Amino acid sequence: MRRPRPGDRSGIRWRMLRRRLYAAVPVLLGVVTVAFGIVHLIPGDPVQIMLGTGGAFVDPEREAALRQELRLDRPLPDQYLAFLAALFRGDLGQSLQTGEPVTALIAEAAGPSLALAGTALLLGLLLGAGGAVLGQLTGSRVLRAVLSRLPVLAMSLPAYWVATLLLQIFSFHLGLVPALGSTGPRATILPAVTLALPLAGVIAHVLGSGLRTAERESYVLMARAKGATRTRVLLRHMLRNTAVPVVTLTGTTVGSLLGGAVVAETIFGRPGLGRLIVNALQHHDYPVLQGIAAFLGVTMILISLLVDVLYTYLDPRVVSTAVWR
Amino acid sequence: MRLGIRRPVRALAIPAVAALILAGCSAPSEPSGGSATPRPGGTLTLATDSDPGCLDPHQSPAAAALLTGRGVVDSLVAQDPGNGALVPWLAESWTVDPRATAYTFTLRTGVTFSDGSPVAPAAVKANFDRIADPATKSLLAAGMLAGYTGTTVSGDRTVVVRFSRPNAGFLQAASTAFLGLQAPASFAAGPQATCRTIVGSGPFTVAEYVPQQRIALARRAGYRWAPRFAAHQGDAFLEKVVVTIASDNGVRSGSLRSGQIDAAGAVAPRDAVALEREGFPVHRREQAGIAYSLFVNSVKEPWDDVALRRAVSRAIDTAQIVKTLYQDRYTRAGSVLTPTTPGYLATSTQPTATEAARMLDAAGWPVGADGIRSRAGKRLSLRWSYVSPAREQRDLLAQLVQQQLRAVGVEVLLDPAPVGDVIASQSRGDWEMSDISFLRADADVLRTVLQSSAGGRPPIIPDGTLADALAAGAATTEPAVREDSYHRAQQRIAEQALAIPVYNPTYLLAVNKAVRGIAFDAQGLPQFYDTWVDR
Repeated sequence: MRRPRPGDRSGIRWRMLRRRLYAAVPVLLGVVTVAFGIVHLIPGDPVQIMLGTGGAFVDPEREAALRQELRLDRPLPDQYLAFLAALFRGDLGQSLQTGEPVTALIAEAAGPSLALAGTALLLGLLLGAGGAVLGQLTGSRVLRAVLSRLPVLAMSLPAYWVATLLLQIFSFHLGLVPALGSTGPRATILPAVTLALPLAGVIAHVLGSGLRTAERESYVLMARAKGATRTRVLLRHMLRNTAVPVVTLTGTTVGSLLGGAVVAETIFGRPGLGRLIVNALQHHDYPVLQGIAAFLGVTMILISLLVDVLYTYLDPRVVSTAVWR
Repeated sequence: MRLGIRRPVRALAIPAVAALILAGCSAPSEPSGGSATPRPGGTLTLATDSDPGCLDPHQSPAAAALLTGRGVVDSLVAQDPGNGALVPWLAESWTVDPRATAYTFTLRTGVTFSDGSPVAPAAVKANFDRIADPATKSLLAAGMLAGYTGTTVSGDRTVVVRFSRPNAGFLQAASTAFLGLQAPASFAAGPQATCRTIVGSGPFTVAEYVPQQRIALARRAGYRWAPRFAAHQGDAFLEKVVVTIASDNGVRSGSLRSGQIDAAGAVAPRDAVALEREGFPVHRREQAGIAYSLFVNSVKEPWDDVALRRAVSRAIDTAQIVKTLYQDRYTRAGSVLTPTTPGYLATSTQPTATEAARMLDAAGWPVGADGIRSRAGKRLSLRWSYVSPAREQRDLLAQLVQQQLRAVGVEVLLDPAPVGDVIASQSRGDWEMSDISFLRADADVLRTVLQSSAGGRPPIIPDGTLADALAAGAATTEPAVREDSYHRAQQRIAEQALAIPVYNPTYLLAVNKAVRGIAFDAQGLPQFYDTWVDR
């Protein structure tokens, strides 16, 4: 294989992307298969839950009829193959509870989830990176000490507590934002802050300790010796070198922001993927659970691709190793 | 042991509740200084705890589907929340054959669905046929039509609904929104379409439904067929009712306090106490149906011994439970049925731990070294698998019961589990202790919910005397015969300690002072037809 010319980076990026996309197919198949297996391993039976919720007596005749109607009477391998075949056509099936197409349910919940996750991610990055950089630049020992300890606090705050506190202060007492019933920008602030705080903590922690380590690196000494200011060295050299783990971390966080925002969604009364998952779990709504797993799987694969591409911009070495693989 | 003793359970409730029940809940006390004449217009915003998932009461078994569904669909008959009597609604009159297998309804004229189509015999047939059709995947309503063989249209105002076996509970079932009438044209798009919006002949229409977020109802103009017990006739007062979903208790009460909503539904008792203190009126109504009760599996050894079951029921101090967990905002259950259920008979006895201990001694279960009773190496224990996450603090209740039974030497092994596990273990008959409550304003609920059948979910184990009494109640629509049958059934349940009634599930609705005319339906859920806002 030919060694790439220094200017040929974009071609290499495309080749790398294509290879990753091919590799994503078996990964996705694995994800949906595991999801299928896990949801069918959950103890309890959807038909009995549907008929027996609230304590009603389950009439065996109606149980059998419903099971047949939902096609849950067929052997599991058949159900699996039917699921894969439909998935291949882009059909995720229908919710057992309401009969609505799973794709429609996901599309409906994904909007508010993406808005919330996006805002939280942005806030988390700003707060986290801002805190870490400020901690590095400040001359004040006290501020530096405070900023190096805050992240651990932010990480350990339980979402339930933060959400309730934020609501009490900003909605119930100050009346600045509505507590309920909206997914508009104003109603997104508090849940986004709830999700952003622990994320900011993690980012500030990783970036902060990365920056403190980089301080002692020879390239920093070199740059300083050549007369660059502290700020310039930090922003031009150190940040770029310490950003790689932060980008990885951010990438892996997006999935949990999308599907794991259950607490924030519940307390703030927002629709979203997290509540869709919990509701589907409670009712053993297999198609919905499988559909969300497939959706989140695809999302995570796309994000990890994006992260890989970002690496190539942050660290040229990634491109050269990627091409020799 | 004294059994079947009538106790004035209502007298235990604080006077406000008693007044509310006796007044049929249609006229709560009005704060002084406000206008007494209902003022039409305005919006009521209400936060409730759960999303029905599906708005269609034909399909959904959720009480949340009734909360909004009742305002949208009317039923053939109406149940007066004051006395439980069934009165005309969309049906002007009806007759029932002596075996309770054929119901002939004569429909009221001039009634239309909100899509303009008439509430005609063919529509009644289309509704019941649809509920019974397996493709509708009805989870509760179809069970109310047990034995349904079809509806025949005879004449332009008359329908006959037929059953293959007696179904005396049908008339009351027909008064619920579960069997409410929807516009047949709305069925064409399939069951999933009516999950999103329902079309009925009620005083409100569905304006918007955003799952997990809110349901908006809009007033329908030209409504002229409210049941006669309603406080007024004609259009609803409120222009709009917006029901927001907020599952967190604190968020609902906080939103009410800060004026973001007008009413908070399903308020936790602790929050109700605080809100009352701050001057927010809290309306309450004991829900009809099966009281929250505990069941001891009477076919599992050693609990097939009635003396042991009686001892356990005497050892559980329900007065302490309602006081500590529910601040007496829920009342002690007096029977397996709640007091607002027609046919209720108070059967409960005073709990006494010393008496319970004496009964257990007499039954031959001495206390061991660790304080737990045992006989021939077998410990006297009860495994209790309950649904987690629990509502109404039932997890704490389970722990309190565990302590109370431990005090008399009975060990309770608590097993909080997801609802799927709990239902599965009960379906297998693999349970020792269980708990349920069930919403329905007819004593026939004892038969449909508690009676055993192969493969079903049997909290109560087959008992000949009980089965006879329940069958007798289900085979006639004669009120006196039914009442007598259900009294016998409740006495038998108490005598055999088949159920241990604990508390009466109670709907608590906190409102701001401007909200007037809150009413509850016979099931015990708030209704907004007579509601208006004084501002």
